[in-house]
Parts: sequence; C-alpha cells; structure tokens
Amino acid sequence: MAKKRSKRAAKKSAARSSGRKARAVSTERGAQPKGVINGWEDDPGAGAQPSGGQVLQRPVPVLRDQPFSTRIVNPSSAPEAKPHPPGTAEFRYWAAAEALRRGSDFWGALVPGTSWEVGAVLPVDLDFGVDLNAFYDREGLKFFHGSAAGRTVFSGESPDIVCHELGHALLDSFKPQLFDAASIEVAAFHESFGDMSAILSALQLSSVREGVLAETGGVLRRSSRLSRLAEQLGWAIRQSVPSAVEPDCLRNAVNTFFYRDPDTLPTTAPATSLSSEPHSFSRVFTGAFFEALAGMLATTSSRDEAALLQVSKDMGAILVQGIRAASVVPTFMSQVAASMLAVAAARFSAQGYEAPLRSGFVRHGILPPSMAVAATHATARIAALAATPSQSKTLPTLQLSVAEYGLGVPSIVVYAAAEPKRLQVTGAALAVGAAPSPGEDQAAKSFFEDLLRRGRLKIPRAGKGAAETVRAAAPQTHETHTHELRREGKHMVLRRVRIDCGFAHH
Amino acid sequence: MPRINQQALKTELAKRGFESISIKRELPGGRVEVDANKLHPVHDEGGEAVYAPVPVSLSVELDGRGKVKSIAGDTPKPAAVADAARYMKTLRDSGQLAIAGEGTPARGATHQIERDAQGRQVLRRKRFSII
Repeated sequence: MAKKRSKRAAKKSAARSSGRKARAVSTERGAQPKGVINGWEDDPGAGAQPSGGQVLQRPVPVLRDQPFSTRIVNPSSAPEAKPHPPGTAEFRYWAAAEALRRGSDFWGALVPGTSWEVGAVLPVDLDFGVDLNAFYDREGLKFFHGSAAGRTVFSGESPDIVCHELGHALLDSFKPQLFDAASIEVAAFHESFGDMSAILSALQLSSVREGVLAETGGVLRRSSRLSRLAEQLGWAIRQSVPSAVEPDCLRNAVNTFFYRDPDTLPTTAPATSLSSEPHSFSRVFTGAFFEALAGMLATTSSRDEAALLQVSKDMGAILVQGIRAASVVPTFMSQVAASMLAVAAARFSAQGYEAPLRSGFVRHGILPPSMAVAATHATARIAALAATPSQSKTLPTLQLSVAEYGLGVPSIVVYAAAEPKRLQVTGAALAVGAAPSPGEDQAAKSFFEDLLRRGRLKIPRAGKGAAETVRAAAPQTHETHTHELRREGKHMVLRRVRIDCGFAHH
Repeated sequence: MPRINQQALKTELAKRGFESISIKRELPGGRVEVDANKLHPVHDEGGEAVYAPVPVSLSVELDGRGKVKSIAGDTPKPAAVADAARYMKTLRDSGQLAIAGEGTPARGATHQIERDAQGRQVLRRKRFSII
C-alpha cells in the first residue's frame, strides 16, 4: 500500500477548461548540456533474475525541453550529471530521467501540438512510498520502492515501467475520454498502450535494437528482452505471489492469448490464463501488436537495426492515428485494429504493412479474417460462383464462399465433415451446457478461418490481402503450413499437405 | 455554415451532463459528431444506484448561430451499459475498487466510488497502475 498521498493540483479544473490543450506546443529545445549519465537499457533485471540488466551511457537528458516536458519533483534536486554506479540514488535519478526524455521525444514526434492532460509539465515522483507498483493519475507519475527476498526494488529506475506509465499519460493527452470510460476493453487497451509505449521507446536505443536482433536471430517475434516487460518488478512480485506474473517478467508481449468476449472470462485468473482484469486482458492486444511489429520488420529488405528503428516509428504513427480514429465502444480493441489497418493501407501501402498487421490481429482474434480484409478492401466482396463440387471417395465436398477473405477466388472446394451424424452429441459451451451444433457449412468455414488465423494455409498466386496470414516469422529453412489451396480443374481445392505436431508459436 | 466554436460546444454539452467531450468531426448540414462519456446507473448497491461514465457517440445538430438544436445518441447503448456493469464487477473482484470512507483502499486500487455534487454515487478512476 502506498504510504504517501498528495493533494490534487490546485485549480486544475479551471486550467483544464481554459482551452490550454488547444494551444500549439513549442518544439524549441535548450542547449544540450555536456557529459553523459548512466542508466538502464530497459530494466535492472534480466529474465527471471532481479539483476543483470544492461547499463548504458547516454547524453544528459533535459526534462524541461519540449516536447512533453516532465519534471522530477522527488527528489527535488538533480544530482550531479555524470555516470553514477548502479545501486545509488544518483544512478536511479538519471536512469529515470533518461527514460522519461526518450519516451517524451518518441511520442512527441507523433502527436505534435499536444500537451499533457495535467498541464504543460508532467510531475514525476520517483519514490512516493512503499509498494511494488507505479501509477499514473491526473497529477503525475508516481513510483515506489518495495522489498522482496532481502532486496529493495525501485520501480522508477526501470525504463520499462517509466515508459509504461508515461504511455498512460501520453494516451490521456490525446484521447482523454478513455481515462474514465467504464469499459473492460477500454481499460485493457490503456494498459496495452503502456506496454506498447515501453516497447517502442526501448527501440529508440540502437543498443537495444542490436541486442534484440542478435538475441532473436533476427526473428523479432521470439520472446526476448524486448518482449519481456519489467523483469525486476516481476521477480519481486513473484517472490510472494508466483502465479500473479510471468515466470521471467511482469508481462510478455510474445504470447498466444486469443480474443474472447470479456463477458465469458473470469474476473481474475493466474498469469497463465486470460481474465477480464484489464492488465490480464491487455495481453491480447499487446501480443497482436508485437507480432505485427515483427512482421513489419520482416517486410523490409535489410531487416537490420536501422530498419527496426524505422518500423518502430511507423508503428507508433499507425497506432496513434488508429486510436484517434477509433470509436469508443465495448469492442474497442477491434475498432482500433480496424482503424490501424485503414491507416496502414492509406499511408504505408508502399511498405506493405497491412499484411503483418492483419496477421497479428487475426491470429490473436481481435479481428476475424473477413473483417480484417474488409477493413482495407471494403469493396472487394465478390459474388460466389455456383459450381459443381468435385467428386471424392472419402468425404462429401462443399462449395465454400471465401470472397470476403480476399484470396483472389470467390469460392473453394473443401472436403467437409458432412456425413450423417450417428450420435447427436456436441462440444461443451464455455459457460454452461452444450455449444450449438454448427451446420456443415459453418463448421467448414470455421475450420478454414482457423487455418487462416493460425497461418497454416499456403495460397498459390495469392490475391492481395491473402498472404498476410502466413506467419511472419515462419522458419526460412522449411515449410510449416499444413494446408494448401490447389487448382484442380476448374476449382480451387483445399488440401492438407502435412500434419505438424510442433509448437506453432515459435 | 461557419466553423463551429468547439469550446462553446463543449461547454454547452458539459452543462447537459456530458464528460470527456471530444469533437470528432463536423458534417454537412450543421451536424457535429462528438465522443463523450455520460453518467449512467449501472449497478445497485444497497438500494442505491451507482453511476459510471459510459461512452456515447453523439450527433449534435447546431442552428445557424452555432447553438445546440438537437442531440441524437445521448442515451448509452445497452451493450455499453452492460460492459460498464461487468467492468465494475471486474474491478471489485480484482481489488481495484476502493469505496470512499471504508478505510484504507486495497493495494492496487485504481477506482473509487464517490458522491458527486448531486449526491449520486459515481464510479471514478483515480489512477492507472503497472499491475
């Protein structure tokens, strides 16, 4: 429990209604001070360990500079700006300051003319009391210290945590309606944005880009120091409540969580499962985002750290514009996703970002494949052909309309589970009782969509909007798809080519 | 149709009980699309309603002088109200909802039920947390 509390800033309401936020923000910067300071690259911890983070040297950050000025109010005065050793209060101060400046610079370039919801300067308290936590409220950012297994952890020295909280403040600056909206997906998205802010801000460091590319062998969607958020705080919480966090961090952006209606989820669950609690549910969107980011890098020719920097900036721009355009409704995540796809199609078509974005959102269930295609190809619906199914010696065939998936063909032939039922049984529903038994058409379509979502379908001469569902980071050395669409006579036929028992995610 | 005075429109909508107002776009014919939150009863506690800020999408019609002529969409949709009620249950179950006047709020509490100027119990976010 936090021990300290502060009073709400005086006259805040009056200031907020004065039209302050509409004013353009100066982008002037003061002279850069000489010298360097020490800080952490992303976190003091590494994997499951509370230590082992990478120390880096950076130019002295100037917090009062635009864009998005911040001010550390506790401690009230800055220590000498020079490289201090980890474990000292001076080191923690400059580690936090460096992360604040980096996050402000990154987002400031993407939302020009915007200022904090709290005013021109965001106050930051680096030690607000005892807790294993960190907050953003409409007064500022608040960080804490807490003990675990004989070690004291300061949340404010982790750039992951600083940039997560800064992300809340940033999102509040350009979409303030989300702060108070009583909605599970809105709250979960705010948490996801915090984690995405930590990831994108970390990628502004060349050493992080080089490190993560080396660690993952260039396959960004593998779990890495970039995807693992707040390792040290995760370790500290794990000492008392192991099930509350991931085994090697607080949250991991590389995950396989698939969207579910929050109404069907429990209100709390261990970290291994999804619940409607906002931090837990946020992982669905963060997972899709991270997979899309990895896929966007894969579309570049060089796939090097310079390309990763550009991709991170482009992703930030797509995210901000997608959020701005999204309607605030109970299914907010899908609104943002669809808006992001539209932005990518309109502004980044040359880069081919729609495909990896679609893949991420489809594979995490945020958008169904048909809606993902419709978001960028709204007029691409083609009437289905009425054709005679091909003959089969095994299962009956069905003509399945697939026009909405943008595969370049209006319909395909599938071998469907359409034999007469011998027993009238069906699977269990998520809540109570039996799930409705789908018709053959629906079952075949569900299976086909599942192949698309899992990236297990190879499509020859795929039309636009089709190849995206092939996994962004599929091994270069061998094929991993299980099904193909083959032209057989006049028809495109869905054929299984292999059974893959491997773990599909990596 | 002259460009609307956004600040005047926000002030006018605030008087009508809307919060977190943002002008989304201006449409032909003097209509403006607005996103906002509106307090709506979502839960009953001891026979007394608890209100929560529920998102609404408004279509505001302005007259020739830029005054509000009519507002469509000012009632939250049933899905949004149900979402808010579920959200409140999630907050309560996960220890993120503190009740004003009930002593020390739970660790990690992000929301509080407060009484507003009209004496209503209202769910309010106080902060975001990392966990």
